[in-house]
Amino acid sequence: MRLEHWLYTIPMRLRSLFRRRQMDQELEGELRDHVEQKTEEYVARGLPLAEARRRVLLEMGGFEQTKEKCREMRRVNYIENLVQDVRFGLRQLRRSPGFAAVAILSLAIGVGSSTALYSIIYGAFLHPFLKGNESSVLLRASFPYKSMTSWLFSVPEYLDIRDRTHVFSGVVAQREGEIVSLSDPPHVEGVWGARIPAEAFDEAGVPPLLGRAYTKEEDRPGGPQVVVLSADLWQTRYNSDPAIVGKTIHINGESYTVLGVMPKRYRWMGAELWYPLQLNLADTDRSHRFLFVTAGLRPGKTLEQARRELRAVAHSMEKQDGRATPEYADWSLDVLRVRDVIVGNLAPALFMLSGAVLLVLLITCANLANLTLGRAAVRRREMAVRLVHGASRWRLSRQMLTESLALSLLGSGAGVLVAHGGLQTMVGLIPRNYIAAEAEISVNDKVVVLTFFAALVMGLLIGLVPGLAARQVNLEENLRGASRSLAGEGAGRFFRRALVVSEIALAVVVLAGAVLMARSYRRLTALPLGFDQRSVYVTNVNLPVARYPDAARVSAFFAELVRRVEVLPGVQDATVVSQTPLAGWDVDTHDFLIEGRSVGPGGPPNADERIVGQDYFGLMHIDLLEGRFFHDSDRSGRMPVAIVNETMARLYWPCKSPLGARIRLEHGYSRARLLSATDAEGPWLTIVGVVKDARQRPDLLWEIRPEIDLPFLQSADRIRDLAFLVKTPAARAGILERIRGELQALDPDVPAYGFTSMNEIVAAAQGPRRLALVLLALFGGLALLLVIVGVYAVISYNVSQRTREMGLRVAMGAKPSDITRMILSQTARLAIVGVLVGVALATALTRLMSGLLYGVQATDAPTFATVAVVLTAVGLLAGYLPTRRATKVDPMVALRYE
Amino acid sequence: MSKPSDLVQGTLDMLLLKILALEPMNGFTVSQRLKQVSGDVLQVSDGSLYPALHKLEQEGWITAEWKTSEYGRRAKYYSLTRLGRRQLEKEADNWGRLSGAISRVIKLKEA
Repeated sequence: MRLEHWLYTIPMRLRSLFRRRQMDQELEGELRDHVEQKTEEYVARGLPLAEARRRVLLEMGGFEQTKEKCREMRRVNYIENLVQDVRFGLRQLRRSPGFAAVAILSLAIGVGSSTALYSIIYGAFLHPFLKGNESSVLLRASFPYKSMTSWLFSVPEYLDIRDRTHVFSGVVAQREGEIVSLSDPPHVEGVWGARIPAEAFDEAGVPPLLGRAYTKEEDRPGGPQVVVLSADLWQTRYNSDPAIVGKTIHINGESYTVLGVMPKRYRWMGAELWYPLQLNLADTDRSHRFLFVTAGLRPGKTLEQARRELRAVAHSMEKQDGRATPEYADWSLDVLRVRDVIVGNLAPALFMLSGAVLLVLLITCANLANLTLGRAAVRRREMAVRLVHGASRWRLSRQMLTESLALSLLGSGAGVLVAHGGLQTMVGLIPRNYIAAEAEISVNDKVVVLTFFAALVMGLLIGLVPGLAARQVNLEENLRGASRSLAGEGAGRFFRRALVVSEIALAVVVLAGAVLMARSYRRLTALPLGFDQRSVYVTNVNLPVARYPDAARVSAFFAELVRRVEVLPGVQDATVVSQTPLAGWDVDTHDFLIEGRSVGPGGPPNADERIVGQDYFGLMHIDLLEGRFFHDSDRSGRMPVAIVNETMARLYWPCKSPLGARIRLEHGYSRARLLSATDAEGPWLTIVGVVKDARQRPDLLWEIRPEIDLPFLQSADRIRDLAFLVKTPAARAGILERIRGELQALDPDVPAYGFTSMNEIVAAAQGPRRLALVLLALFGGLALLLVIVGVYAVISYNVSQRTREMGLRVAMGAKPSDITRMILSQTARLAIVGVLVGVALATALTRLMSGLLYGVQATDAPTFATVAVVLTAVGLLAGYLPTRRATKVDPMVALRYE
Repeated sequence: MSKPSDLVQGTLDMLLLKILALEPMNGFTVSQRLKQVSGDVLQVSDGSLYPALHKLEQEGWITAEWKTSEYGRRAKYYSLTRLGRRQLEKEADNWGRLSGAISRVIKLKEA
């Protein structure tokens, strides 16, 4: 109904606006027709023609009046006035294309970047789909005696937390997502699957798109094999098959019945499919940790309250079970908001950038206000003429406002296009794991509406000062074309200078931020990684347990894959590793015992664990310090060996070589993909080598921990999911195809997933800082450009206003150098005041970004000095150009100027 | 001569819609037809008729077309749109209910 209404009325209004002349002609014709017909009728009744005509017009109440009344029915009068103003404004803009270009370009860049930034913030944090994350928290344990933290809990720990706390509305345990292979035709595919309990669906409160989620009855040990699919998977792999519910699919070679499909916004744990956790509640091993624990905070409860309660729970667990579970000594439980965990460092980066973009927009506004003001002075004569012709001063102010609004809308429109085009590039600068899987990032309608309102506000800001100035036009003086004042009139001059000073000050802040970011980025990229990421490509391979039940088959498969890929043309080396360096968000760790040493009060020490193929250290260029690398003979059945890193050697064998020492792995704090999570009573491992430290943990800035490396051929029973590394100078696209081809030939049912290069992984690890750096550099450059334009405009306006004065001075004997010095000193005053204010402002504001800085203080003196010098220099340069014009003034011309 | 204020507020729209529901016609014919069918009781001044027609057109209830009349004169013919027909039904309904209620009240007084 509404729609149909608009279908009729919108074309009507548009016709009223754009076919005004035709509409008026038609109206005239219609009324004239009426008058004629009625007159004919009266004449037929016997009235004389003139009298008939008079009566008809009288009955109508006036021909023109009726016309006007009909016109009013069109309800577009105010628009017509506006259209007039806008048309006039646009004509003015066309007449000064330089001004228009500068204005629209700077607005487009400023608005474009802020719109794109807001799109990301909206998509990643504010979208209603993500609201559920607001109250959900993730639990983490710290074991101080092992100097490690763990996101994973054992079944008894989970039950204790669930039953002894009151601040949470639902405590849910689940396994971490894992790659599973879908082996049905048409092709084998690896996708993220997550084992989650039935309650997790209730917690999220999102109803399925199709079918149903599983129930508690199905989620028990020995329950049926059922699965729920994500909308994405359903659409891409199953072509949105409406009859998918009830069908059987094969996951890791086993058959599962599809129960339902979740809507697009449901991406629990970032997975593509979910199947029952089927948790065995009778499991009593407290150190067998394999469960993530999430919870919803009850309304009104704070994180602080939750922490207090968890402290008590941890304490009571330590008292009860501390003897059997030595790692409980002084342990503690913590909660983090799920959103903070996902978003991590990105949030401060985005909010800092929003601040920067706001400053740039302010500079843009100040600059445009300034330019408009300068133009207003030039247009004073035009204003005066319009006043004489009866325009009200209000109408003149409105004209200025309309013009600046038109300008800001044009610029913002261009900005939205810029944002639309540049958004994907910007999103590309953010590593994927910082954004929730269900987030949809686009320049959506809400973002556009916000930009529109921002454009209105900016239009007002830009037009305010010139609008006010337009009210003060002095009629008589301007009509005579004389501007007698020697140095421009007081108020306008003050405004212009204040605008320039604030522009420079704001630019100092933005530039200081950009330089700080650049310096910390350099420090970060200069951080020695300890490995060489160049020309290394990674793809993950997941062997289905059903087809590869034992170590022999697993190692045979990878040995054959490595052999086949190594002989491909261009490939220098290939190997496997249990965990890609710098990837993921946690590391497999193991407690260990050292032969002949007693265990301390905090239980056995703990180290990161990595299972590596034979050539791993060679391929990654991780240097050997002592002993030897693994070789072919380190296979199952031979003496079990290990290599440790420098940190481990230094910590546990500070005075002597660890070579020949023996260690034994105890409890594994492993990620879900290790099949046997408890390895109590493993064999004694002899240390055969020490390698240099390498930054391989998920976050580049995490400290390097002790690390134990095990040869793949002696650990193949524990692992099915490996990263396959290839070193080749060949192009990226070709190499993936070739690896795929070899995999297909070897076993068409094995999925490969997550192909990437080590270069990309390293870049992603530098993550949010890179986004911040690129954007801040852009904003810094823009701010600098705006300052140049702003200062140039003000000084050149000043110079043109003072032409007569210059002429006088030259006539009185002033040398060009005197004039130059005079104007430059004026510029310098503006620049120095601006820089001082800016530095003060920057010291206060850059503190807010200290979380993003690395190796640089937020109040780094050299940075501030550089920025101050650069801006002063830029200001002086921008002021010098118009000065040269001033010195070339011919005194005679200047004096005759009026 | 009757002024629009003689009509119950808002009923002019309904009357015009009803007249135009019979057949497409121009403004002059509308005014004549209105007088005719109401037995000269309802008269609308020409000064109110045309703005009212234009308003209905702007609302999308009636649409206009230039046609040559039987006397060879080009005139603007108005006709009802689908929206207008729905609007007429709505207003007629309201009117029916209102006039029914009023007449019931009036009769109640007499009894």
